[in-house]
Amino acid sequence: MRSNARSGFTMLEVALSITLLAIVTVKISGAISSATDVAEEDAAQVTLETQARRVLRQIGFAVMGSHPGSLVPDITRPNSTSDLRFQVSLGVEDGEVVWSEPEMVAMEELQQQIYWSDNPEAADERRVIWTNLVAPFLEGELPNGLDDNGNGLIDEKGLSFTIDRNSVDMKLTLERVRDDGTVVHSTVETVVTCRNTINGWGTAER
Amino acid sequence: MGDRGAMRVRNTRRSERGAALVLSLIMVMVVGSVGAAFLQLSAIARKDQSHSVDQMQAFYAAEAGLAEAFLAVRMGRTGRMGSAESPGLYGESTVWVDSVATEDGRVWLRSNARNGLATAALGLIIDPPDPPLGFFADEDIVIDSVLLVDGFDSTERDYVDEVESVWDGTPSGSSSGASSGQSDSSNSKKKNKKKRKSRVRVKRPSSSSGALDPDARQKLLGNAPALSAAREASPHFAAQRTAARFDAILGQGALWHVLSRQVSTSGSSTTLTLSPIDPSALLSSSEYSSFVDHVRSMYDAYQANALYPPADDGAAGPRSSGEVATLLDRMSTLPENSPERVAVHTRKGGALGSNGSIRFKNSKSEPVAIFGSVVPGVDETVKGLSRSTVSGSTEPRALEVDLERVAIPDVALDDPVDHDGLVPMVISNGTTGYWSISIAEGSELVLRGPAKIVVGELSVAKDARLMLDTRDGEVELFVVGDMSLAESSIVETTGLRPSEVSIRAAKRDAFAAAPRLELDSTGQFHGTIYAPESEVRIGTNFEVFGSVAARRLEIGAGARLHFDDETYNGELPVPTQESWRILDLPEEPEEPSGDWMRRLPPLTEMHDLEHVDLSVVYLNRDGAARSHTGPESGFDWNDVGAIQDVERQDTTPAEEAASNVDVHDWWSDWWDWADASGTSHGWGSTWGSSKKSKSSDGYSKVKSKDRKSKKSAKKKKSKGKK
Amino acid sequence: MTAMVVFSVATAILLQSLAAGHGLRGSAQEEWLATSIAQNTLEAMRNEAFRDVVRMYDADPFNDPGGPGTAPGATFAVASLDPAPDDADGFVGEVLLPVVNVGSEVAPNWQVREDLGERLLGLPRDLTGDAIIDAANHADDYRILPVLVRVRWNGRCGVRELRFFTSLTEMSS
Repeated sequence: MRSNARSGFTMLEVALSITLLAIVTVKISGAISSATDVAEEDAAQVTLETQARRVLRQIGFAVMGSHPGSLVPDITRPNSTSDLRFQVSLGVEDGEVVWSEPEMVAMEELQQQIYWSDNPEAADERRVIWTNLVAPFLEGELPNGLDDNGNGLIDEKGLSFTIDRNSVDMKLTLERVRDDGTVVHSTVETVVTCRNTINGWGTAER
Repeated sequence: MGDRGAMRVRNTRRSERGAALVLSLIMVMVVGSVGAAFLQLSAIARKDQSHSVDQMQAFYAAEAGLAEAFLAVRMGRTGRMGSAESPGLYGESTVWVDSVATEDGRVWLRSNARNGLATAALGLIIDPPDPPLGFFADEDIVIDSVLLVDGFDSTERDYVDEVESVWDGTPSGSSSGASSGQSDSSNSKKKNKKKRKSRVRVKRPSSSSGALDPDARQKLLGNAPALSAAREASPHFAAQRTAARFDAILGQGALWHVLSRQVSTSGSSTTLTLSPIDPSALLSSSEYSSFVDHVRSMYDAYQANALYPPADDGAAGPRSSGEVATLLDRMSTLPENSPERVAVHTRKGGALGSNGSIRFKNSKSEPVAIFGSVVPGVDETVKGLSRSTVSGSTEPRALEVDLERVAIPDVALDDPVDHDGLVPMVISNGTTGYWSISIAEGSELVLRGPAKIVVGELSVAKDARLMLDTRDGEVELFVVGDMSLAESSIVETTGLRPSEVSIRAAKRDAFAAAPRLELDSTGQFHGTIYAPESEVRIGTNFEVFGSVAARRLEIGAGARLHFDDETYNGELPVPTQESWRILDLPEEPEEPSGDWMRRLPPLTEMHDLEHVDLSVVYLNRDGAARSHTGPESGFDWNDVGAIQDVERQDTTPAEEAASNVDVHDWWSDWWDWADASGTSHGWGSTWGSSKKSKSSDGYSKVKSKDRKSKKSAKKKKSKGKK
Repeated sequence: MTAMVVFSVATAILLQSLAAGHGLRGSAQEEWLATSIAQNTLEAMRNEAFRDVVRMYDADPFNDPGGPGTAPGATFAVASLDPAPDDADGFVGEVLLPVVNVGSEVAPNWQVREDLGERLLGLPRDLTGDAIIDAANHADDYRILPVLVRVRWNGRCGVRELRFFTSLTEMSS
């Protein structure tokens, strides 16, 4: 009997234990929940950033092989464009440099897409979607005729190009709306210089 | 009962405890998997970022490889640097560059770099500048009498100075002064080697190298006024030569007026007053700059009575005082078959070429001296060189030269000009055209630049004078009919640069006969003559300082042709960059390489010098004149103090070049890579395949070019140094 | 009780892994920034006339082609990256060229030299294409330019450094 009595708990002990357990569980659950939220947000951010960097690198390497004279439109700060046409060098044939058909990297606003296009606006145009998370405007920018985000550009789109001599400055914002309605952004930017700067572009084969 | 009750309680607690454990384990698994997933995602992002850094480092290292190889080609080397098995170290990357010279004269470069697990390959096609044509004919050239061909570069110094610079020098060794026997051995040595058109010359001012034949010097000088030994040793010798040059340009004693009235000194400072004579208005900007640099030394020489008086005749033509100038002036008085006509010369830089063969008919009896190269056409030869001197190569050219047609300016032709009178007639600057121009005996016509003149027929009679005045600008003469400069007529140019005067000839229309140019007058012509459809005859005393390119070239006995290589302008020519491309830039990490485990030499020490023939004349660190001819790999550049002349030639054996990878595959590999990249690559899901279809065209074009290139190679156009 | 312990440990591990993941992400972000800025600098150098590169990217503000102080210079800051504690100039980024100041701080005289001992740039080496290494100033006749862009910052995981090596040469006549 003595042993039975010693092995039991008083109601107070049980109530106290349950209360403490409940408090700890709630706290831990809360911590886990918020940590999971943070993790999800981080994961979304990581995915978005990785995607943004890859797309921008892809655009950069594509434009790098072009001739600066082939860049259309030739647009400089504070204006920018979200559609850039260019022609890259394909090699040399019969003593002449051969240039590609016009290519274009552009933003499709409605679909929130960035696509690469071969021979744009032609009957045989081919498009490849490079990402579909592009924001309508660059992070912090509003369509109000002002430079809201202080980057020197006015009303720049989620994908924006500006040209400075042989260089192309490119900026990109990807965004994703989470289940809870919050929006995750990732903005990246880079500059590439066109490498094919041979003379006589105006007379080159197009 | 009590025991059973206790048992129940224990069982219940045990089952509860198990439930909690299971519950907690489930929670742990959920939580753990969430954490692990996030950790994995972050690690992937980190790895991706890390690879991206490696990739960018590899990319820029590959660009460095291209830059190094580009400069190497510019220097005359092959551009090859290291190999996949033996790369060089650049920064933290390993790099090697493959290079192939194609038959059309281009160089394809592929630079490969590895950094960490990332690799990059970039391609560049470059077109090295065409070698200068010098004196060139589309058809065979036959030389049947005395001939001198040599060269200089008027951007460095004029011809007289160039000859003076080699006046008392020692023989410059194996790279120059070569005999025909040496040429033959050179030929046989290079018989099995791949021909390559890119040769690069770098010239630096030298104080002494080469020699003028002392016997000929004494014989030639005769009783002509010579510079005394004391004058040569004079501290004002350089100033004398400079003053002679400016005297020739300014003319009419203007230099003496400037030095005596318009220059004042105070200590080390010198003041030049630009009135009443303004040298800045009379000289080109570069000449004026040089004048200002030398005005003090000339003034000092003037004060020391060490300058020559102004020329009595006041001739505006280029005249230089000194022994060499005297000798050169005497050349026109020597019989046309006199061996002494070839005795005064520089020791390098001449260029005589053809698309056909070049034959020296009587070289056993008539001396021919060529200080430079004689380049016959593709698969053609140089014949009859038994007594002649050819210091440079006699290798046939790799590609046929296609002389471009002359574009005649669209100018309305005015009435003919027949000038016959004592007062010189001046055709002033501007763009004009005449049905014909003829200058009667004893008359003088001045064509004053800047001028572009189209003329039907041009004839200069005996004892008439044609002056090409370029003091204010270039004179461009387009001839669509015959051009006849009679014997003993005089043609002179005021400038010393061939770029200042050009004579271009072409048919008036497709049905007209090609103009014939007979240049028999006496004088020193500093300019270029370009007549791709014409027959050009260069008379005995029409001494050319520049270049001539024609369909057919007749060279008179005793002719003296000095190729002015000013087109290099003292600078290494920059090859044309034609196509840059990313050939390979894998998104996925490569297999680890053992390169990192090895100690690698720097990339800059990985040039392929085995297949580069180097011919260099230099002063060593102690100032002694030295020369070297042979593979560049056997030459120690550390011993070089100053270069005087250097030439390189790619001697990659044809079989070795052929064993190289097909360069066109470099470009096509890119498409294969892009095609294979698939969705897992950052280059997009289907971009590669969409390009593939396009690349198929490009690829087949390039491949067909490969097949065609051998046929079309001979049609490569020369943009040449005319 | 055991369950509680297991649960607590697991939670701690989770939080730790989340923190580590967050740290990794931050570290990747830092590297991206550093890479991006270094790349931009290299690309900007390529966009300049070859002959102006040295004067624009050396440490001498008085020889800038567009007038004193108009060129980017040899150092640069990167937003969101802090300089390393031992960084003397307080700038995260640095452009290394084969140049040396043979003058004084007050009267600088920056020269392009082949005979420097900067092994990171592969010096001493020929910069003019004549195969000779000498002690002359080649500011006006260099034909190849080894370049190192170095970004060094105090990151989440301590002091980090990224180095990008390349060479520029005159590719257009």
